[in-house]
Amino acid sequence: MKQNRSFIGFLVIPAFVILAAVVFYPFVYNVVLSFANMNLYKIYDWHLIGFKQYVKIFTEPSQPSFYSVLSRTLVWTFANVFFHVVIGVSLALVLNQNLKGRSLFRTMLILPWAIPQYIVALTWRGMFNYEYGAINLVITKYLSLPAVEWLKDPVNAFIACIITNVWLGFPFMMVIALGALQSIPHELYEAAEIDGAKWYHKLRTITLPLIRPVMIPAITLGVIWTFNNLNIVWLVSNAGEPSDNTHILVSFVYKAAFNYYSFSYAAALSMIIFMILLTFSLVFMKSSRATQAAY
Amino acid sequence: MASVRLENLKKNYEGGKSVVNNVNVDIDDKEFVVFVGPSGCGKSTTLRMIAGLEDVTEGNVFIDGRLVNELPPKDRDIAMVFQNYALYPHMTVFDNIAFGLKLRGFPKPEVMKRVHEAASILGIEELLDRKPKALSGGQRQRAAIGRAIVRKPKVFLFDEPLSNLDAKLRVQMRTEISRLHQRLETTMIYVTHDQTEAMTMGDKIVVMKDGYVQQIAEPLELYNHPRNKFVAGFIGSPAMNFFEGAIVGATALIFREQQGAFKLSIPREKSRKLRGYAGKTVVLGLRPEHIYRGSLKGLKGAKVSVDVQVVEPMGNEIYVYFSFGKNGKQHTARFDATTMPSAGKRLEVLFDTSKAHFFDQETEMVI
Repeated sequence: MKQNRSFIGFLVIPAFVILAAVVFYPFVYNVVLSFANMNLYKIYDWHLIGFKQYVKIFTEPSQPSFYSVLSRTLVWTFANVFFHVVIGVSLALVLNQNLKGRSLFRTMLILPWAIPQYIVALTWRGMFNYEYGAINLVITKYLSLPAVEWLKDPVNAFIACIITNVWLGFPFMMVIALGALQSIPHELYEAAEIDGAKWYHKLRTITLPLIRPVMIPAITLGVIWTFNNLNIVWLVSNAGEPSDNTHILVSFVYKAAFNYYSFSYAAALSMIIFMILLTFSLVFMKSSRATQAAY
Repeated sequence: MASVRLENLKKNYEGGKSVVNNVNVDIDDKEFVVFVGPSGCGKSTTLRMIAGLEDVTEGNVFIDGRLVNELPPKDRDIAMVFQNYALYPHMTVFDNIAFGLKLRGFPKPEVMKRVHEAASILGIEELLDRKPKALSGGQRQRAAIGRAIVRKPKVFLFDEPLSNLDAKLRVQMRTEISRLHQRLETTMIYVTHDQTEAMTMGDKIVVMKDGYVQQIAEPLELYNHPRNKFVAGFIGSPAMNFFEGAIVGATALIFREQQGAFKLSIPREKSRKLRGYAGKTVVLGLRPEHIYRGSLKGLKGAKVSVDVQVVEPMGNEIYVYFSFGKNGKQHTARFDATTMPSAGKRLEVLFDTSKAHFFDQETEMVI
């Protein structure tokens, strides 16, 4: 028994040490920093100042303002996850049919997800170029519309970021939805067919309720990933351009920490992000009863 | 209530694989017909073609005299019960049963009335608020049957509905479905691989193998007069024993088992047909219940000495597995549970030749 216990310890300790080093310690250090005044001038002689950083975030004006960044983050998250789910589930429904060349389509549609985000972001940034970008080329040449200033106008630049991230993120939802669809017994559809159900009845009363238990955790993950997605906004808009008007919370945190070196201010901001996501996850998972098995 | 007629029904899958061939069956109004056969024999595909869930490659399906080949399932006025119940897992039993009625736009009071009526017939009224996962297998199957009967369709289709239930529940549900048939007086078509279900439930049984109908008959007719070796072996449990041997003799015919294990005189009523087989090999079929212990008096038949291999006491009867010689082919006899024969010993048994069936060795058709 004793030998058994030491063997268990031998197996568990390495994982525990790694977790402590890369998760617990940085998290606790971040909490402490958020209550301190560490910045470029006070790298070594920082001290605790209580909630002052939090008060500063919520009350003092900043460029850009916290509230505008927060609302832009909410729009960013909602728009992205909405299109990820709608496009992903729709494509999964198509791929779930008996199509010819289904596996080829499936592979092609998963590709965006397999390409590194960095490359995707820079490719799309190139495509959004006013003069030489492919998107303006299509708009002017084939649609005969005026070229769009994608990266100079704050709204357009933000839309460009969303388009890039939608393209990048729908395959995840598609793969998850496809897996969920394939687990629905086909007899349910046959029984419904005999009962007189049309395709939209089947979608509403069988497909959607039965992929829901799988989609809710996927949407929760999607919200967390999108909310925290630094790469796309940072790279497509080139660090929040124009004039820091395309920031979402996480890129704002990055700028505060590594461009302005306001480490404690950034730590407090990231604690706010953490609290928002934690609350969202708990409320969403509970209210949607996601963990309840369907069958 | 309606008749169903299958006319030269064929089903080929992509790549030309044929699964149902030339099926011709007439099912009368209010009849309970069972399609039975081993897996892959085409019985479920036939049922699915009646339901409209599979396209018909060739031939016709008539329901109530109307050609329904091109009609979608919902317009055929049928209801189907599936092997795995096919209950909507996120709906209560009530909503499951009411689903078809709601889709067809029945008014709410009528839906309530019909669901409660169906639930009371099936004894599941207290389960109407539960979801399928909170039900036992038997209760789920009742809910699935409820969904079928609530619409009062012309024809009920059952696709192996009892296969997922345990043995005891299967027997119970078997009688419940039979009772339901008597009560509803509706045409029912039932698919199963279990010959006991077929024998106990069907007014008429359709035996299928490899996509072809082997025989259509009433249960006892199938048991007593199988058309071929397959039907003879498939119907009856334990299965019929088969012995290969030659027909010899000129005036009085004798069956001599291939290995010389036994000989038996062929009864006069069977001699006429077997005369043409003199000198040829045929297959003798004898059911386990037509083999008796040698000690039983007053029975006519052929005395045969066998090697007992295994004895299985069932309580009310005994199954004796025997062979001729230690390594011979295994056969079965069914005895009354009076005394247990010993395994490994020789035993005198009596073959009731009046109950014997003879089959052509090549065509496997009964002689």
